[in-house]
Amino acid sequence: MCRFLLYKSNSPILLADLLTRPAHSIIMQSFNCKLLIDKRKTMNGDGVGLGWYMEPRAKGCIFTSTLPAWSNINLQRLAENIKSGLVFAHVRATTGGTVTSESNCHPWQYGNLMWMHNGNIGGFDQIKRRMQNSLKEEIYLNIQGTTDSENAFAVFLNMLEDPLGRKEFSFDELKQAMLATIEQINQWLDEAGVTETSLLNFAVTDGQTVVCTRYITDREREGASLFYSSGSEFRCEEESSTYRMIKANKREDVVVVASEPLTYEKSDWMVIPSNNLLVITPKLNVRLYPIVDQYWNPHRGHQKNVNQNGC
Amino acid sequence: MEHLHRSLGIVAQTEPSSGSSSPTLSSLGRKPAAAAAIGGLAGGLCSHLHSETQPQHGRSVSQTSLASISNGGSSSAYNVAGASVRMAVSLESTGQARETQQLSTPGDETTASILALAQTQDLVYGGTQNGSIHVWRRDTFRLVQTLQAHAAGCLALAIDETRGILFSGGGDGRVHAWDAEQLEPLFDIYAAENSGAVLSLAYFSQLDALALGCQNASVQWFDVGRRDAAPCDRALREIQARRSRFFDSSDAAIAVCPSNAPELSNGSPDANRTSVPVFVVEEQNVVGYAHSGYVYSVIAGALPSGEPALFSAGGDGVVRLWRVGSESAPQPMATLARDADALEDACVHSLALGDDGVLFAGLQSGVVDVWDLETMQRIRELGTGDSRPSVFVLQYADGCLFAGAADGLVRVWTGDLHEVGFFATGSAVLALAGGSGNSELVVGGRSVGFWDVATLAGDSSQLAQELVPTPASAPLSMAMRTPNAGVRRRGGRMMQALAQWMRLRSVSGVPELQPECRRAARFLRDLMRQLGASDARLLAATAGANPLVYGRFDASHSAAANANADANTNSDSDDSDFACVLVYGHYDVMPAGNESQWTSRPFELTGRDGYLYGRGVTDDKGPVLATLFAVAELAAAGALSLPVVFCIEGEEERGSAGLREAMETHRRLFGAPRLILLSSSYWLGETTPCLTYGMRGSIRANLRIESSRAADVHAGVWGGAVSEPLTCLAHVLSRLADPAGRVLIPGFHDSVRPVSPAEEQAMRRLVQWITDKEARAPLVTRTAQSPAPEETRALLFEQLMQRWRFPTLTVHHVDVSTVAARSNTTLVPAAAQASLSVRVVPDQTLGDIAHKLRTHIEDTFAQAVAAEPSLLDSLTLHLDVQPVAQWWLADPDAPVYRAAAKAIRDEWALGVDDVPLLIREGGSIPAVPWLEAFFAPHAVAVNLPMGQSSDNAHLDNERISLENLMRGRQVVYRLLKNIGDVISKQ
Repeated sequence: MCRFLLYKSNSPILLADLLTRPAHSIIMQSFNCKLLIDKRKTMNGDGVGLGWYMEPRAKGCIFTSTLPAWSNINLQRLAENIKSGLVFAHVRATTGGTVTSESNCHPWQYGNLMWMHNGNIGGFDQIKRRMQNSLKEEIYLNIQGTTDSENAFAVFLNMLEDPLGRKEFSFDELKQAMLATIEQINQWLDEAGVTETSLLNFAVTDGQTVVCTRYITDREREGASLFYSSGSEFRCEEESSTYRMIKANKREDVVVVASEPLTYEKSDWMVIPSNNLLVITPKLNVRLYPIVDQYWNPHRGHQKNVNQNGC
Repeated sequence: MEHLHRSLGIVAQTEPSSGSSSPTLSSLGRKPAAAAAIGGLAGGLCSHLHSETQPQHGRSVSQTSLASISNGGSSSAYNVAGASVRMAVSLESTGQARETQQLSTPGDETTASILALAQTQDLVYGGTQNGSIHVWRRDTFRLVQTLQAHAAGCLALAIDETRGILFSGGGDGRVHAWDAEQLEPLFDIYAAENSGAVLSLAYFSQLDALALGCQNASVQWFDVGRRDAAPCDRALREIQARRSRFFDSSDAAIAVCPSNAPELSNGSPDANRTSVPVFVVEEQNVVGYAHSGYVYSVIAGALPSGEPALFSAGGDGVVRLWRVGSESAPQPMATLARDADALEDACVHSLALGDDGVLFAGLQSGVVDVWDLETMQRIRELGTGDSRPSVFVLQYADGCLFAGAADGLVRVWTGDLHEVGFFATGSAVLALAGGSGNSELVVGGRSVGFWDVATLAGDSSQLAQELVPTPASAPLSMAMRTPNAGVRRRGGRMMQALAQWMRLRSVSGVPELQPECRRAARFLRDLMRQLGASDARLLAATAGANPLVYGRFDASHSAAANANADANTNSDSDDSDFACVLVYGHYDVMPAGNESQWTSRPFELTGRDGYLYGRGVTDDKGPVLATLFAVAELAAAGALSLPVVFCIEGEEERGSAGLREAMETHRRLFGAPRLILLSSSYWLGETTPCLTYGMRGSIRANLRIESSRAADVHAGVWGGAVSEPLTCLAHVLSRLADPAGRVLIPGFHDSVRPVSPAEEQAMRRLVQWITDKEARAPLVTRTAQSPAPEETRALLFEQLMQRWRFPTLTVHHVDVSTVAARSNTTLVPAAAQASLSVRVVPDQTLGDIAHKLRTHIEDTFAQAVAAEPSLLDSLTLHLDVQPVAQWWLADPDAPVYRAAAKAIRDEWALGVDDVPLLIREGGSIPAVPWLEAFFAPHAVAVNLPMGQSSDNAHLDNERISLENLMRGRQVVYRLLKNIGDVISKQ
């Protein structure tokens, strides 16, 4: 199980204000995550990755390392010096027996697009060939690592028109490609007769729009946790020295999505319901769409504690 | 319009990376109806990122729009193609919008933004970013209370006017219901689980139900009237079941985190609320995914057919209409969306219903869509033309649409969709409230502003009716409206006049400002005429002095007939000796001083937190106008029992130069005043009304001691052999008073009236009152240093007696003959001088005290010189003693005083006989005793202070409390209404 975090705003934020300083920052989550699904893996220590954009329509930059996030001095250094308005961050716990290597660290990029995943495709080995066979040549050749996550990215890219050449995509295009990716994966899993559950919390961006999902191939259980927070500024309040999402006006100027809340301010964080797709548009509008397919259940979760021991 | 779309379309396409490859732009570009939105988008992108690649005409668009924002005055938005030019007018410059009050939000500036507003006739509620709700009174603009409401931002407010319930929605996903008047919590409503913030609220009065717009894109429905249908414990059980594994879990993992953090975030902000009933929005009353974005706006309304409907809009850019009934959740009826809405990055922040079945939607892109609810078609787009900042909030009130935007402007259209203009509020406009019979629009942002926009409402004929004809010469550029009930209560017309009058810098004694003084005098004369004065004119004072403004309001026939005939016996025989009331005041003001010390411009009337600020607002223009409007109101009502004459001079701040001469020349105009009414002093503290019945007199003296030598000499060379003027001066001064301030002049205290037991008792009662009720007034805090209350009172008693009741002598200034002697410590100055003053009290006379002062100084000097006959040169004394003002003492038991005290008690609804406090002042107003003497024997002066001790007269940030001024006006009204009866007893 992994943890991820993404941030989009009108004004760049110092990465440290997201990654290292908040009470439950992604670094904290790397060794002390609270919303475990797999109780045997309590650490997300198999590498860390950071992706950020300096400006829209320009390719983002990625830093990955196989060192655990908590002991990665370079990560600390970068965080103290980089400001960005669009950030992806990921701490990894390997699944499916894949190796801990830099090429297996999230996020990945292709052209202007960046991708990360929290969860796993259950029975990935049984559909890996189908996935790769479906890919256009240049997309297939771009796969560097061995993970289900990177292969899912390739499937996503395959859904887009000219993913390498274009600098931006409409949010609807990215949304449709994401839905198509999930649909396609489900179809392959069904064809392969996989019964294992998949957790598909994906996040993708072209540097302007962010599309992410909280998704599980199950009608009853909840997907891997995913929260979001929006407001006019995410900053540390001097008085209490805690991070708060400031809501100074009607507009959303900042949106943070994270596997676990970065702070303990309950009212600052919203649960993204399972099997929903969340879009952050270029103008910072947050859109929420249910993913209505065979696993859609509007009454999910009303029987409490169904998934206490799940996946 | 079409040209504009195309040209902006070109901008978009010539911008390389946002060109034809973008489906968003191209798909929209095909549709003219939505093209302006592209214009906004493309313009924004261009200016943001690639301004250097813009074609020339594209650049001119952004420059024009920049200019129109920056010049602040009237500005124009040009159509790019040049087909038409539309003017956007600053309504402040035309006088159609004026901020009458600005209320700062208490607390930390960075978290105190007002996010929501609601109002009743009497109160205004402001929900803040930090979750509290401030409540202000509309008539006084005073903060009544701050409710600790929500854990994270109060984002929405709604009112049930029938039952007087205020609903507040918060970032904590709850709705609190409050008693709108008592401000007590009534009950709580929890939105359904994981709803996020309650962003908007609408109350349906017919259905007695509440609609909630939530962050998770849902619309929720709560039947307020039948909230008790579900058992209460079910709600509690459901809330308890809502434990979050993250926030509410006690897993060991949490131990690493700050121990206090989880408690902090979950605690209810207000312990008082734990006892109120709790309700939950039931699952069947939740419309999930009502939108696919945050539901920023829900409003209650009706379709043109009369069918009640809920309108909702939000972060997905579409507007939805819902059928509502008390039985169930809202049912979808229609969706209002631009053709390409599903694909467009659009967002509706606010909705408003207009007349004639139109719905307005304020968009993130800065335009306002106008939807016709009959045809469900978008009929207009307001505010197109240049890329505009986001419209955050709409309010439709009194036939006008107000749109508040991120740039701090409120733009105004008529109901017929004509653009009227805009006004600037200074910070992003986040909330608006208007209508419900209030003439002011309330604007929330970093602060709360009250904008008088009454002249915008209604058609032109109505406007013309409200205009009071003004003479061509009058400086009244603004329309003066006949006050309606709401305005009268807040004195709208008086405030407008005061605002204009204060703009005239009538500082006396400054030659450059003499024309301003004359303008101020003429303004007042014209105002008196407009208000119904039978005579109003300027009376020349001495040459070079500012004129006196004279005005006369005749007694109303009916009222005069009822008044006791005795009072008016003379009026038949000799017109110049008519019994009347004389109002004395002044229109000249002190200079502004250091303007950087002022928080607002000194000569602009500025309303802030219940106070009015500006030079002269309390000394004396505010009280003068309050008195004038009270008199005019009585005259208009036919209730003036005696004629009232006004004597408003322009040289008060310079010792009333020329007043005597002008009044002597025109004595016949002033009749025989029985009451001389003035308001030229201040309350002792901040909360207790006062009545001033005595002031000390004043004598000024300059003394100069000169040696016979022509110049300063070297102290080392000549010291000992020459006379020492400064030493001699010091000797003389030291014989005037001892270091404790006791005056040593022989016979000085002889005629000071002994303090009677009754007087002392009254004073002790006064001190008791002040220490009890005015503990925080500067008077008390500066005086009383003792921890023991009785000692404090004793100190205060002594202080007040010294200040009001006993004479004193002050040396103001000592100087030496030359500038060199001031700084060079080796010189013996050739001369030295001092200025001093004496404050005199009953029954000292100016002549006697001046004589004693003079004699004592001369004697002391003579003795001093006689002692040293062997010096090289001799000293001479030059002494100038000038009486300035006689002391003044009225009889507080006189009928007019009793009447004034009663008027104050009645107006302030004070049931206690101790108030108003009868006070004296240590200072002097020369005109008061002089006028009493001039019109002796029947004239009694009453000094009726309106302002508080913190008014800062003569200092920076001079102010008066709005409530004090308005009540001061009413006190005068009450006093003069019965004045005919009162003076007949005199």
